[in-house]
Amino acid sequence: MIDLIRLAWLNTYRQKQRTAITAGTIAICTILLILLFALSQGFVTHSIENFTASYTGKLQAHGEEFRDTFDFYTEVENVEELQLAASEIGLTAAPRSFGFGLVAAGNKSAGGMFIGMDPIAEKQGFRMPGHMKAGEFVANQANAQAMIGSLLAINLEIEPGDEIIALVQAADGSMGNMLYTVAGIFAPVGDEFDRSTIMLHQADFDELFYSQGRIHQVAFNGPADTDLLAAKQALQKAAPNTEIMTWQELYVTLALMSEMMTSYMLVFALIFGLGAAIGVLNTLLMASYERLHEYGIMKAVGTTSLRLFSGTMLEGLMIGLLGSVVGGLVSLPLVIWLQDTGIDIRQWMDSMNVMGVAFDPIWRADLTLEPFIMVPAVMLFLSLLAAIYPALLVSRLNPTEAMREH
Amino acid sequence: MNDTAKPVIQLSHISKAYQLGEIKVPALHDINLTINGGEFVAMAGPSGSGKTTLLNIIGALDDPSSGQVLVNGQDTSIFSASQKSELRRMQIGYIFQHYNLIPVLTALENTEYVLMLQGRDKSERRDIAMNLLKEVGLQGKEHHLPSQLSGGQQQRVAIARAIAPEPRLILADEPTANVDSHTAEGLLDLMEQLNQEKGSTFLFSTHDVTVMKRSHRLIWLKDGAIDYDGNPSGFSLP
Repeated sequence: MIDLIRLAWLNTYRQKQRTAITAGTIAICTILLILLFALSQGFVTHSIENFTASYTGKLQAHGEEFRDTFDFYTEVENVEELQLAASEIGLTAAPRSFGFGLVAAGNKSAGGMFIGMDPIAEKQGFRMPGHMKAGEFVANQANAQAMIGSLLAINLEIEPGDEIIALVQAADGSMGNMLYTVAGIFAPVGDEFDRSTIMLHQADFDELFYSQGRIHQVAFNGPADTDLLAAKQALQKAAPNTEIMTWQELYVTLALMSEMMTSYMLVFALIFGLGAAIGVLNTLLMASYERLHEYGIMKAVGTTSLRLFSGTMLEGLMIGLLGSVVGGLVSLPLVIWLQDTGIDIRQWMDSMNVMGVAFDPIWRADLTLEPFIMVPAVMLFLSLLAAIYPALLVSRLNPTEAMREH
Repeated sequence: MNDTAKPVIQLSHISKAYQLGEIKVPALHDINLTINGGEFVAMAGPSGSGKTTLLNIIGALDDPSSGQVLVNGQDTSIFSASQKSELRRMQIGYIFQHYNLIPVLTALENTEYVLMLQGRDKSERRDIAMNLLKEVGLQGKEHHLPSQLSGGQQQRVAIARAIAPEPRLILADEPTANVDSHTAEGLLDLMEQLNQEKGSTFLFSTHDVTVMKRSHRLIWLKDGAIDYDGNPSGFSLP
């Protein structure tokens, strides 16, 4: 066995050009597959993280049936208990209020959704405060400032520093109206949000709607690896009569889409892997045909078919190992670079908007151990698979015919 | 090392025909031949007379269409592929026309190759190979690849490889065809020396008159049949 391994190694080592071509093919396929995996994983992970961390949160609490009715009087009870429970499990809680009304600037007007929020909680737990297209997030103290969705700002032809008038029906039935200064305009988040949002300090919202501190939603955010099911149970325990839902339950189609994306990528990777296997098979076959004469000599002097088969398979294993290890090592710095720097897709499109959700314009890879183990292992397996046919071909050679080949 | 009186090769009514499409091309016709241990035999004849075919049949590289082949008393025509491999590995040494060394192995490794197949110990086979390369005049060239050796040197390595396992029978297909006359003389000296010192049986096919004259027995093939079998001095070329 040691002689067989040594001979296979000599063949692999001394035929540098042939080895380089075959191992190079395997290495390139390994690199491309690892990058494909890391980028697709990154796309899904970062898009979801971008979506949840910007504004939606990983979980949300609402009063029963509020999501269906948007009834102003259906509020979240036990907000303080929820905030306490959230902090105990490492989540940030951001209470929010919602109301509808009209907003006007100059001779332009539009219907809008007013959101009242606590700037400190939003800054602590969410990325929205840094997600501004122009201007800045409202101050921590109420100061009659508003932030506007990007499309609403275009429709009203306003920019930071301009004034807007809000007209709403208040909680007591009266008409509420106020004048606000536009502090900032959000970068795109999603169609619905961009077209209708007017975000105010909670105190300004309370004053406009005379809402008396009604909270309609508490959004919770935390690390990407948060155990959502455990978090949901902990929050539900703190507020039994409140509807607690994870983002996957709130945005079923989006969750499904992210799962499908992973499946699509796997199918794509499989097709790509098969292509790679055919490439490897081709180079191994070419290498075998080049060596027919040599195999003929080996057989003529008494090498058995089994030994030739094993030797060819061993060479396939060695070249596959070399190619997949080199591919794995070369792709590591590339994945790190793609994770840190990413690909700025804004050079090809303004923003990527899928199902009304704006995704991160910087496409980043996700550095995990999985593709670095799985892809080289798959490539090694494919190399061995691809070596079977040349090995069979070689083992069945007629030595006199093979020796005539030059 | 061997019983020189015993027959090494016994051929009875050997015929071989190749099928080329619908045409059957006869290569050998009713060959009967016995070669005893220690003989130094040249097999000659015009191109297409069946020399290489006969050599391949004796060496279990090809099968006859009919007849019986006994090598060292064993009927190879009923051997399986693996038995033929074993016969070639253990009992026959080959010297091919185009040297046919394994290109990725050095002179030493090529010489060791068959010994390795036989499962000999690494140090034992290294010693044998080093000594043989010295005997064939390749001392200092042990670690050269075939591409770094001249034609004559490559053929010397091929001879060393063939005799390394000390087989009873060495088959050589035109061993001097691709070397100059001076080198050919040297190779013949070497083979004759091995024949005399080690008692190895040599059967080689050749076109070379010098080789024919140097042999102890000449077999002349014509149209796939034996036309002459005897002392080379009693034969005149047609």
